[in-house]
Amino acid sequence: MSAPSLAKTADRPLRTHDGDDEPLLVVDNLSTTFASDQGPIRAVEDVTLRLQRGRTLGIVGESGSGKSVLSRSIMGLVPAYATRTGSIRYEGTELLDAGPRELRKIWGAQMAMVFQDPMTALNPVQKIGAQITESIREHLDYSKTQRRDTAIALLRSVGIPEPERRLKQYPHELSGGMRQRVVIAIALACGPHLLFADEPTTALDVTVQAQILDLIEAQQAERNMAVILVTHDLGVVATRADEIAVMYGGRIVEQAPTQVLFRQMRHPYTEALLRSIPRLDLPSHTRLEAISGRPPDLLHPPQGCRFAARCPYAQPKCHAEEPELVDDGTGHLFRCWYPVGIASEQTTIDSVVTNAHVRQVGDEIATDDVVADDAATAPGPAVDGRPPAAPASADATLAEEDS
Amino acid sequence: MAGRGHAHLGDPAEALLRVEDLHVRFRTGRGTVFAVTEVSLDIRKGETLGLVGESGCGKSTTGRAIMQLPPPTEGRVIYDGQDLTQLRPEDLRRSRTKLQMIFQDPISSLNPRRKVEDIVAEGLKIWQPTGWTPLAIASLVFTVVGVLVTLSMFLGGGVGALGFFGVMALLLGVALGLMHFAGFGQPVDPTMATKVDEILDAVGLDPTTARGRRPHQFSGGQCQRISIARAVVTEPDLIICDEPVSALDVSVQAQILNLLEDLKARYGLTLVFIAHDLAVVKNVSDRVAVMYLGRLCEVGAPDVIYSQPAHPYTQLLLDAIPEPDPDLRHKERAPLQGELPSPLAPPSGCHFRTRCPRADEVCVEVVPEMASTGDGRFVACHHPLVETVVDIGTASARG
Repeated sequence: MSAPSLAKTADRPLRTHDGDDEPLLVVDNLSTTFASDQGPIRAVEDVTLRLQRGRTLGIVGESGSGKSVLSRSIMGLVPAYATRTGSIRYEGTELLDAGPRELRKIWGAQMAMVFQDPMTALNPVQKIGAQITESIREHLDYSKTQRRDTAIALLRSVGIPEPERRLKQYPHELSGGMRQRVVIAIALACGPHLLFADEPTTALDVTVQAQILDLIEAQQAERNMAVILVTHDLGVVATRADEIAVMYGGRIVEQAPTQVLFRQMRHPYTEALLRSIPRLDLPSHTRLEAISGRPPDLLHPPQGCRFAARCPYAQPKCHAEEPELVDDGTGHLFRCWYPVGIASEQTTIDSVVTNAHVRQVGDEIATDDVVADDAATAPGPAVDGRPPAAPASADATLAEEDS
Repeated sequence: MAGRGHAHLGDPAEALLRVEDLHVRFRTGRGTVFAVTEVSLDIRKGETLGLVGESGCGKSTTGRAIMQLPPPTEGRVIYDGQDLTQLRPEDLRRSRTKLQMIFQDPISSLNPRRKVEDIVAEGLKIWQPTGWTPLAIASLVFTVVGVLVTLSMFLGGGVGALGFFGVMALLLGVALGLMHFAGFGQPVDPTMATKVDEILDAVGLDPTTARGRRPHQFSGGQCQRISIARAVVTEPDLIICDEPVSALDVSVQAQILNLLEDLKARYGLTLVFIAHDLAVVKNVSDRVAVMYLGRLCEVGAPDVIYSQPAHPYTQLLLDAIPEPDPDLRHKERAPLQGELPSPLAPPSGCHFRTRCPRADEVCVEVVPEMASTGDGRFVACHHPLVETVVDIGTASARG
């Protein structure tokens, strides 16, 4: 996919050489807390990340795990009632202190986001052409013809046929896959260094999903762009990400290079998540290993490990004390007292696995997901541990206005 | 098919429900949408038939056409010896207890203002015999007396105090009648409450806490359990599950899929499972039917189809699935190129030919017929990836 005459970012603080040790993005101890009527909701807690140029970081988790809030927090797309603490350094600049004016310079030009739902991410009453050139008008000093040529080149590079005609069309005239390509073209318009892809293919069919992910990968290679791929699907990140961070209850519970994570997963949650996916290579009617119970209530997080209540290997210690995120010495981080597959714990874990498995299959219906009592006392956020609807929609609106 | 034909249909005696040459067309301002074209299927008793394809392939429309929501434009849907498309509305309503449906969005498919027990019991209440309750008798008496008194007064000439009472009695009778038909005064059937509790328990909800709550107090997975309870409570033969797990997280998805398998065994259900996720469909299905642009491509056992697809479309669909295995990063695959053609003007011949790597002139001219590949699988393709065999028995039997 060749992309002739694509935009070069205007005032980008260029690095003089490539052997730079400083990662593109450094996130240290980032926490995001939403204020709510019932108290603070800790949507993201103590997240530390490093991302080099040209690399892909996958962030995986269920709804309510904080994965979307994390990417929005890094970008600064959080509502006013959210408090962020910690540090986010992008190319050496601290983003947490940056004001709206500085963020405006960075958004679109330096970092951009591909949103989940291409139906709502586009403005329905504005032509595709105007939406694509919006950030070019904002950041680059281009003439009208240059902008048009860039927009056509962008549409062509994301695989949209007849780009000249598409510029004059409205979003409703395009299919879902085409709209998502337009959203990607908008994100790529100013040649960002960092692309956030927040569930970019969840709303799309598998065939289109493969096309879109290939497209992001091709653009990434061409532009040496770093990508943060947020998804609930381990299948999507397995072949696309260099490194994966698994989130649960607002925290990173395991983080490792992709190969290592899939080969030697340490956290029981990662293991459970992988096991619950129906596999193509298994015969039909293979019993799925569901994770019983529900994600923790972030309004009242449990005292110990956040996964303890659903963990088949949980010990008394897990319910009492929260484990730290530890490095096993090879860059594989996990947050667990009794990690899966560690030699010293092997015997006990094996016996627990066997017992747990039998129990799960036997009385799945009776035990799983029985209505918890907290559902009545705290409607809204407590029902399934998700942040309330208001923050989510509020930051979506904010994101649309500002991106 | 992207084709047509009946070769894949089994013995009618084994089929719980049989669909023949189903067409669904919608008239729109821009022309006619060919949503489903010449689809024939049989759903065998006790099986799960997976219906899979991309959005817009007509899989949901097929499921809804079976339920007569709306009735198909052409074709027959034979259930229990009757063609559902020919039934009078009242008879169709009666069949609905035996044919149930579960929808994609668990939250919007439940009425937010009703309690769980009412949602689940509604199907039962509709079919409860409406007996002569005191309310019904009172209504009848007041109406008859009211009509007689009023009539006699009018015929007699003068409208006096008695006439006034006659009219009041008539109005009261009508009002009581309306209350009766709205469900007031019906004895609460104790077996109904027991039944609701039993079903709630079966779908993994605690009846004592869940009964009195409303849908917003439950998570998406729990709402889907309520939808399932509502469908199962009328003791149906067939449940059409339209993307029941697409809106759910993977961990919850596994719970719901396991639940459907358990309920199927427990209540002897037959399922039509409509989904776009091929791995999910493989997991639950006994047979899979792949659809493309309103036509069938391939029908057969999932293990056969998935290990060796015969239709080029199935092959491309399978190649597109991301496998949770980093070693498959460089697996050979040719992604499906191009866009789905418009269902307003589907291609001639084989519907898939515009995107098919094997297409030639025959595919432009002729709609492929379903043909057996000898392993219980049928494919509608002029150039299948697995050789088809002429099954003389089937061919002569069906003509």
